[in-house]
Amino acid sequence: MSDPITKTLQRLKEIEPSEEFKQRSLSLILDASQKSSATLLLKDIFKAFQFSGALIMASVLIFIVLGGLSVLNLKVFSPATLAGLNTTNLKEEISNVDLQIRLSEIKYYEDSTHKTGVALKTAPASSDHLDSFGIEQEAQNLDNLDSKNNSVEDLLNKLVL
Amino acid sequence: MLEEEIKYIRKAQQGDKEAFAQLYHHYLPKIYRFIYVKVSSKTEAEDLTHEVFMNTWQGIKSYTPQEFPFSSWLYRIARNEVIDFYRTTKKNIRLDLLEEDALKVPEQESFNLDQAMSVESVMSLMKSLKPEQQDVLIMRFLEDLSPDEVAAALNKSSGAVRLIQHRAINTLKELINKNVGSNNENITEA
Repeated sequence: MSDPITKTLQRLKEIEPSEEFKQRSLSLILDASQKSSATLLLKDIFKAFQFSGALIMASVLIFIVLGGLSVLNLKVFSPATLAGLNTTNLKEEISNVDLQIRLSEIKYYEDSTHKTGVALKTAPASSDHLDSFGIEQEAQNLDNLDSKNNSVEDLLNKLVL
Repeated sequence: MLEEEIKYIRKAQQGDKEAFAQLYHHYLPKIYRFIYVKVSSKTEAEDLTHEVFMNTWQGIKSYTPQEFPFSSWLYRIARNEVIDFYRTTKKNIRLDLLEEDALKVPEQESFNLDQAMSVESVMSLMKSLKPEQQDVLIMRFLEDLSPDEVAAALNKSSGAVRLIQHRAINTLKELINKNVGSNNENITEA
């Protein structure tokens, strides 16, 4: 079978470009100027740099992505470094709370001692409310006030009626 | 290979238009065929062939005969042009734009091997091969290049070229057999 195939393939040799195309294309090509060796060399260098540049950029990108992921992994996603699970942070927080409680207790004791001291100092100077005579006098004053009020009310009633 | 090819190349490298014209006339039909079989269009084959020789003329100073034969260098340029062509143009065949006759089953008793082996059939079946298999078949059988020259053009070893050629022939054989079978089925159904 391969023989007929090769024969058929060789028949493709009959394909020929037209004479008109041959002449037109050649004249157009020869009208164009050749590139200088320097231009071709620069082109080759640029191509080489393009390839190596692409490789460098790709490796830098991979480095950044992997580096970034590892940093994120260590600082953000790692359970060992999560704020809620970090033992050193927790210890610090607990000691701070303890210290704050102690400070508020000290402040409370200081305030209460001061107030008690002031109350004890003022107590003997104004002991009238403990004197039975004074209390009776106050009661009488209140009664007098009430009686005065009653007489005023009687007078007002008479005027109205 | 063209007689005194090196001399023409050296002269063309110095800007000698006559020397380049000699090279052009010798290699144009080969490169044109190579491209035509790959793109199956006269105008596109002409455009691409023109581009190949334009690039050759403009860049001939960068060619070093010690590296590989001139023919291999030309085929390499042609191959890159065809790759660029397929990369930049999406080839779509719209069935509604095809003429009715193109879709008709041929009116004949049977589709025989000779018809399956026609130049047009083989050319269309070659499209089903891998690009490098197409390249090897064209260079080996149309242009009679040696395996070493094909290897230089494709940047492969000559052993690899022989292997590609063997596989390409086998695949093409299978495709032709399938084509004969399916066409006969269509004729029977009709």
